[in-house]
Amino acid sequence: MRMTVKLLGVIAALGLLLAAVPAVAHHSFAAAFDENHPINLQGTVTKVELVNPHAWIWLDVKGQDGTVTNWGIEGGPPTNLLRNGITKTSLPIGTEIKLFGYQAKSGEPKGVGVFVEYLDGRKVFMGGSAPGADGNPTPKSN
Amino acid sequence: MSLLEFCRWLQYSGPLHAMRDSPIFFPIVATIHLMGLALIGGSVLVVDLRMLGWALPGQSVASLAQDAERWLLRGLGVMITTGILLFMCFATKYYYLTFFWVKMGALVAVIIFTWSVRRRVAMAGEADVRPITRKLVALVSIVLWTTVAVGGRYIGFP
Amino acid sequence: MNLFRFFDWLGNTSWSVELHESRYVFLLVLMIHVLTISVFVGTAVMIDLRLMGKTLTSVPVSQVVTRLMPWTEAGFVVMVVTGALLFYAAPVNRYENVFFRFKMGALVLAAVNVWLFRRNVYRWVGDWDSDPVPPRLVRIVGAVSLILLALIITAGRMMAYQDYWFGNS
Repeated sequence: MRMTVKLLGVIAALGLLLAAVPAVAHHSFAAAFDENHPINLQGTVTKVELVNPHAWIWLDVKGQDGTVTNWGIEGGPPTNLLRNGITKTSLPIGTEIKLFGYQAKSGEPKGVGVFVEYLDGRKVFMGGSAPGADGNPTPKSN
Repeated sequence: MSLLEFCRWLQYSGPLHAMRDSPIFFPIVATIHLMGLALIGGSVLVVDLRMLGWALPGQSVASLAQDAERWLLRGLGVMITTGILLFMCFATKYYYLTFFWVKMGALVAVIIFTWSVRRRVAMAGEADVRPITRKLVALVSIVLWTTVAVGGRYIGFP
Repeated sequence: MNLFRFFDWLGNTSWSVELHESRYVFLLVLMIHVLTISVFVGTAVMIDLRLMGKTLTSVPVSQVVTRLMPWTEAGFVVMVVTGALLFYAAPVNRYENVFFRFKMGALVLAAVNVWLFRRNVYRWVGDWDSDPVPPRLVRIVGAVSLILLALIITAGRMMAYQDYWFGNS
């Protein structure tokens, strides 16, 4: 009897657990970037999130046809960015910057950043998971 | 072939490259790596805490060490296997990370230490070894394992 | 009581923002949280393996439980404190993270498993204390605990990949 109650309780709880999982799952970005799809962006900064464990830089990029896409680029944690010279005030909203990184495998306007390049040529590495983001020479991929 | 070139080969044309390209490979391997951490942690602590006199005082160190060794080996097997796979995903990046080499050095040191000094002290008869010796050995063991673990976290920071 | 609004407010408190944007503190808390797996889950695993008759079989179960559990409990306190801080750094993000919810569910189940064990099964430990391999129900409790701990670790690690599995967050 006690065993049955326990068993029923476990099943009910597992049901509750699974209820926390939405029925629809679709693939999106996060850490799944494509090393064969480097991206060179130029645009204006719309948001800078200097947060743990990954910082994000968002910029409006104007396409060839004039449409504006908002790109989200992931970097390392604040400790890496601060060490490399990116602070909350060094990238005010509206700043025009270039950004080199790798696009998400999903094809979304997201990616991992390698470095931010100011218009005056200054490069700052984003210290994230992208190859070369630590400032070291990027290995040649096959 | 230099070490860096070897890392480059491992990361970009080495075995399992296609498998590692899958976005779920790294998360799954990283998860199993953590389960290995629990196994090593438990099997190491059972003996070290006993040697420090902080747990299971009624049991002989030798019998505890004998029992725990099997699980320590299994935990090590899991962590080293998953560790190699994780390394292959970011070999060139880790090559440049000081903390990666610190971790590897500490890992080699703790493995040697565990199977030479610690084993001898743990398996010795109660009358043959002084409590202070046991405490020191346990302390060194814990410090070395912690160094390995902390080094690992530093690598984990993107 | 709107949880989302509460967590949104919580995430905008100054300490939450400071923690989320911190240079060292967040990463230190995260490091302690992850490494304490070795103590909390580590000792729990040894106890569960004893319950399953897979290790320390010459040690009475009651000895393993009473002498090791204090360390499991201490580890648990550290996990909860660091975990709460990690939650506080970005409450809405954690609340909406599917893996986080799953992890909390598994954690509750694990606690219930322990509670039921102590209340109903462990009371009769005298009958099988010295058995190298305890009775079937005890072994099941150990197995359930191990499975739940594995699920907790998995869900925790997968939280970083919420976007991949479940879309934008």
